[in-house]
Amino acid sequence: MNHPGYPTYYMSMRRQRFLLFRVYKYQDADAYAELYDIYYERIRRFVYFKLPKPVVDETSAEVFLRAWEYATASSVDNAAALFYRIARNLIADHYRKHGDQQFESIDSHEFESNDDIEKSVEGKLESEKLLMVLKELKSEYQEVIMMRYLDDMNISEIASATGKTSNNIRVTLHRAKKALKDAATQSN
Amino acid sequence: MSREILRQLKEQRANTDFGAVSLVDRESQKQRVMRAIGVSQETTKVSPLDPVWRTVEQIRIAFVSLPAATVTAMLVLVFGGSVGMVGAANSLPGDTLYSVKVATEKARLRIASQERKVLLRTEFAQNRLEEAAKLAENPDRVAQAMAGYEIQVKEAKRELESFKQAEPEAAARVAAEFDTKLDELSTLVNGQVQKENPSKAVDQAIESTKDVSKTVVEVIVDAKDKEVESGVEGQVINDSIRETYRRRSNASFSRQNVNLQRIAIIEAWYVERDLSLPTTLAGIRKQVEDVSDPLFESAALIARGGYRTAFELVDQVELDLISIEAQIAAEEIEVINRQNQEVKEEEEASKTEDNYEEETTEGDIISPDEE
Repeated sequence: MNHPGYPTYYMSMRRQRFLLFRVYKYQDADAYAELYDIYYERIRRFVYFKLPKPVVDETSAEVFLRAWEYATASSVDNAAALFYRIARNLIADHYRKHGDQQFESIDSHEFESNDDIEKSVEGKLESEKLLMVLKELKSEYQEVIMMRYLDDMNISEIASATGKTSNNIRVTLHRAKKALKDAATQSN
Repeated sequence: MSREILRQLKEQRANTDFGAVSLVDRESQKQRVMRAIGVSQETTKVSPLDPVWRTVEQIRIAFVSLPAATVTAMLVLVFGGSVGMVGAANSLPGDTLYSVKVATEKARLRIASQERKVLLRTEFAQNRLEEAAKLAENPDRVAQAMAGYEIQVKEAKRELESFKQAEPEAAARVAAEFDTKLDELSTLVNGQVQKENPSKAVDQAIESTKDVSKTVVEVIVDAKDKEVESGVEGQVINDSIRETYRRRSNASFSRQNVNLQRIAIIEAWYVERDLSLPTTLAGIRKQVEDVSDPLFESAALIARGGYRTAFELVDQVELDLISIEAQIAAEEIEVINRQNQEVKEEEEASKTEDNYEEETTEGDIISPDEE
């Protein structure tokens, strides 16, 4: 499962709770750094799929600053929920401020209409086709596919990140896979 | 087909088009965030004007450049002098050496940088408090020490304000550090000194400490405003804001916790005795719990940049807590009075019981089971 130079991370919920406790009780920056290592890439990817490129790094950093503020001021026991909730809020804030235009122009890249997409798909590499298909999915599906197959999170981790039940995630994931498959066959 | 797509998807994990980030970028981002939450600010600066080091340096120079007799004379002067200083350092208001202590402090201020002056003032203020604590049995001298404390705190405030005019950014950083010291001072004043010497001088000292603590916030927030106006925003002031805010809101949260525990103890006392809880208690508990709301709101404000209002909210919470604590104290006194009453009644009861036992014999007592 591991790719060279690109490790995937797993940390038990128990350990995460312990680290959060240390952050709350002692403002322990080292403990926070461990949590950061686990979540940084996930959160960045989550933000990456939803915001224009120039603000991705800034927003991801902001997520961890605000989470630190929050986790030092009050006791939190679910790190995933904390980070993803803050990320969602910041993303929502961004669109409240800047409107939807940016979303359109960046998200669908240089393609203007569906016809264009279909035409250009033929000449593209596999990965680019895949990216386009993924971006066409509705955001709920996109999120679970991303978390499961790109971030390598297990069902319960996804559940705590999204605030849904494990069963709910299983069903959504099943539907998302089906939607992905349909979209991919269609674009071929 | 589906499996094939998922396989392809997994292969894109390290692809930056799919949101991956290079290890180098990840590390630099991490450094940035960690710096922002104040990790690298921990390194302590060594003052170049450390008196011990200066003395050593002087002796070293003396040995290489002066004739032996002069060296001996200097050693006597240096060590003799330092003995005098040590004696003076432990002196109290009214002692002969006390004036030496005050003179030394003034000398240290004269050579200190503007930045250092503010912090030196807090050190001297703490000296005054320690003196006051040692002089507990002599009210006049305590008043003298407390007046000295007030002067130091007010001077620190003045120093900080003039520093703000000159270098807002550095002033904000010093203000944050100053706030930590101030925190220690007010704990000392409120706890130790107030309990031992409740007097007008102490009340005044508490007031001026609070006043300075407001100045700290002003200095930091004003610096931030100026920075925003100038359009160039740095990390230093943000760090100062975060640090100061964190410490203050944490203090309120922990006070809230302590108060909840006090209420729980009172409640337990009533429950143990099967008494109904006083109706006021629920109200007080609600008030204590509600303190969280403005604190959370202030946290949200800080995140959004509403620093001034956020600090005002925390200040308001501090005031609210004072009045709530007074109410809790009243309830505690009520419990203590009842407890005393109880003990007295028990004593009386045991007395009458003794009398009762003398009058009756064991055979007279029949338990319902035996019937």
